[in-house]
Amino acid sequence: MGKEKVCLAYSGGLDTSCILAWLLEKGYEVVCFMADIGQEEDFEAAKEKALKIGASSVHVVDLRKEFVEKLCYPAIQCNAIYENVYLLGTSLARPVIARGQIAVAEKEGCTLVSHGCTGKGNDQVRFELAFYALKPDIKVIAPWRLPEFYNRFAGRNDLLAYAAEVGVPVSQTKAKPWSMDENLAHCSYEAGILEDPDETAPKDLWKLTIDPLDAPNTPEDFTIHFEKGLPSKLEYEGGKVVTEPLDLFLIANAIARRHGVGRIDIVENRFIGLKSRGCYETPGLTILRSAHVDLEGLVLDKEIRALRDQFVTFNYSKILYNGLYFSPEREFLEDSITSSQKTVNGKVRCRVYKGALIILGRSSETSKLYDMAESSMDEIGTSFAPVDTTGFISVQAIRLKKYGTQKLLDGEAL
Amino acid sequence: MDEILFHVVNIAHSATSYTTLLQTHLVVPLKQYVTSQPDLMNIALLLVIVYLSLSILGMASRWIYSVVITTLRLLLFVAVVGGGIWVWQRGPQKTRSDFLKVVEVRGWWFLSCDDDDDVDDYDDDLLLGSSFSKVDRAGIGKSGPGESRRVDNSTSLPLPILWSPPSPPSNHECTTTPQVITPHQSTACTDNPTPYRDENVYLLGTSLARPVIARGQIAVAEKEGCTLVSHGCTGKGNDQVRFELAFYALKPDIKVIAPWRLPEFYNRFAGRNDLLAYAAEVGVPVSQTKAKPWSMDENLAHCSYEAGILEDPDETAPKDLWKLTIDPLDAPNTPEDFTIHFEKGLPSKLEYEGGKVVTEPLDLFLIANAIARRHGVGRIDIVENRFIGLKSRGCYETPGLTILRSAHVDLEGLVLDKEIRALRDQFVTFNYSKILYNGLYFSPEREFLEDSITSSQKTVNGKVRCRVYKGALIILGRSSETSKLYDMAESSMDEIGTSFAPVDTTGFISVQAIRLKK
Repeated sequence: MGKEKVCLAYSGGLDTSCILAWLLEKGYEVVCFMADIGQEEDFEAAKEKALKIGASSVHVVDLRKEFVEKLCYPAIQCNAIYENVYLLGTSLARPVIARGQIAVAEKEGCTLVSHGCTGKGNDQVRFELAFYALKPDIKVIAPWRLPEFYNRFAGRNDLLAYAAEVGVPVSQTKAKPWSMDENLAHCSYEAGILEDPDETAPKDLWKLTIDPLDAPNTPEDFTIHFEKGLPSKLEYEGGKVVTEPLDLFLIANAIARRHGVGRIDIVENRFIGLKSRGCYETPGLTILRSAHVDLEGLVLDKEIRALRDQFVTFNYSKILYNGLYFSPEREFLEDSITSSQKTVNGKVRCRVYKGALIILGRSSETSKLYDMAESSMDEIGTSFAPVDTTGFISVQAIRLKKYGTQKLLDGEAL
Repeated sequence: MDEILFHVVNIAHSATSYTTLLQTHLVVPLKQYVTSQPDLMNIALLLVIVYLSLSILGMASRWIYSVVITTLRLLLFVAVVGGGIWVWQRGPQKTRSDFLKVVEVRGWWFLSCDDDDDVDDYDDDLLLGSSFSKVDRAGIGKSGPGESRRVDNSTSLPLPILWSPPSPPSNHECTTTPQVITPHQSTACTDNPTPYRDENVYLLGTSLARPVIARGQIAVAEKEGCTLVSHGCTGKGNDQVRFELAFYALKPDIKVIAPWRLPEFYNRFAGRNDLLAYAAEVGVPVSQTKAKPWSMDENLAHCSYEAGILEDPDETAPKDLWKLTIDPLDAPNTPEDFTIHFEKGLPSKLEYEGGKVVTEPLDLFLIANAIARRHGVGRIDIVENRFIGLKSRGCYETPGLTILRSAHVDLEGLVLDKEIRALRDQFVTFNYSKILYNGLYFSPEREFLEDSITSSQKTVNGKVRCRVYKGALIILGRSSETSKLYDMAESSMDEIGTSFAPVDTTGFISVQAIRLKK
């Protein structure tokens, strides 16, 4: 052919459509790749649009199952969370998309890949570090970091003008004053009017979940079963049961969405060192994660939990967030996660109401860690005598008595 | 008579020269008048007496005047010195807020008469700072982590809370408002708030109170010359550890009697009935109210429930269990908005109910509690790992602290550096919570971590606008006047910005990828 082949991550939107046209203008042959990771999108229309603009082929790949089973589930197993609140919905999707894109690139014999991520965000880092790990000899074109591109297209109007020029069909609907990214796990909103951290997100922003104020007045109950820390069964609506991971995830999403569960509004620290304000609605994953946290209280050993919470969860979340999924450290931590979840079997009874998840109870058939008689304040129990605690306290106090004595000597009251 | 008059005139004459003229004109004709009319001598005598009295009064008044002046000077001196000590103890900002509080308390009383009907009854109790009711601890035999304790919230005097050493509690029986006492106690509302949670969910309401109580108890013990201390904690709980490790650190030579760990005690009193029988025998008055089938522990931060029917982790907590917060299902259908201001990570001001403002820490905490309570915010139901290695199921409602903590977390997103946050979240918060939970408050490691906490909070200044609705806290927005970390233009997807060029990111990514390509 002579022309170099680029595999472009295409979304059907204005940005990537213009990038497609621009790459063609630059003399590349472009193959488009679209990942179905659960976003509500008309893939057929997008495919036609890409072909019309001039892509030589368009691959739409359903990656939802891989997304749920390979990415979301380990995140649930370690209760992944970034900076106390963010459940990593976008971070979880990137490795899947990147892997899919490289697979298509290899199949089509592309030597380059391209994407429409801005030069200020996290996603460019996540995609590209994944590309380089998956295919070290790949080359990357990041238009939004090339002065010749971003100087030419300084704003939306420039893109629209270019689109008109090259015959890119543009949807007539008015663009929203913010930017969205959607997948099976969540929908994220940032930029535009949200850039003012004191500007409250408007009511019509949220796409997936109902406003808690409009959620039903009757709560909804359901039960989640876990095996080795993974959701294995979901019982809901008084009798229905689902076990297949993707379907389970979709049902959990549906339940959470109709009760407005999973919304957050935060200012986060991006990997590149900027702060950014974002709104996120993570319906099903919020429910599954919280139920998992609760079950671990019943069945997970205290010290495993402490080590896992302090080191594994924290760093795994950071790795995901920073886009270092394809890395030796992630494999290392994932082995820890799997190891920690061996005993996490049981079920959690939950209720959703007006945006909140309430735990009704939990039980486990396999775990003996929670011993009602032993913990009971009413019974003495047989495994240890209360007088043992006196010894425990005395030994703990050896060091503290020295500390207290020193304080008294120094004249520093405690 | 004549002679008396003559002598008096002479005295008058010789006494004052300026009255001579007066006397010449007054006394001499008077004398003449008097001598011609003998009964007028009495009047003359009276006049003299009056004159002398006036002189004496004059002297007396000068004396009184001097005394008053001296007293006023003394008062002024005391006021100046007292004010100086106040400012020295509390710091200039706190003094200002105390002053504002006085002003606002006046205004508050005035306004509270016109409160709208939405406010629940118990809010007034909280606002007026009444004591929480006594909690029946011996609800089910030897259940319950600790003895009854009454928390007296009626002290409105702001004790020095940020300046060590703390003053020992005065007349309160072993307890004081946990909020106020501790200078270095890092609750979210006094010294150094960090978003700590034990095992992902528990906000440490009980753990935070124990050091305060222990310190108070040891202070009383010292004052009274006690060589032993005792408590009613069970042999299976956390509180026995928390109390006793605190006792030994505060007073290394103290001895502890823990009846629930002594076989002679727990064998004798195997259950509630044995205790009741003993109470009857020795004349201990017992309340007639039926004990609840669970055990409670309450303080300003939270109320905890465990034991009894809750021991089955699959048994849902009954609706009537929760004492502090309204059931979210019964919470108002209209949300409530309020704004919390933070300075160095501490709540400094709370604006609520469309115009009301509170700044004093204890009052702020009480208001936060009230807001959260009436909207059902702060409930959790968990199974936790006790320090001694047993698992335990507990229900907790932590109204105000939940709100303050969440708002603080949110503000940190805006104003706290990324790496400070990461280090703090991973190491400090985690271990500080563990230390608190395990009762190792009085320990060198806690002091070490607290210095970290203080250091991390230097830039945490700003305000967070919040909303509560049906048990949930929603963040509406946040802003900071001091922090420049969030740069709208720089972060914006629509502007290029000036601090770095997008092409820099290419280099960043390349360097990161060196290792990954391998």
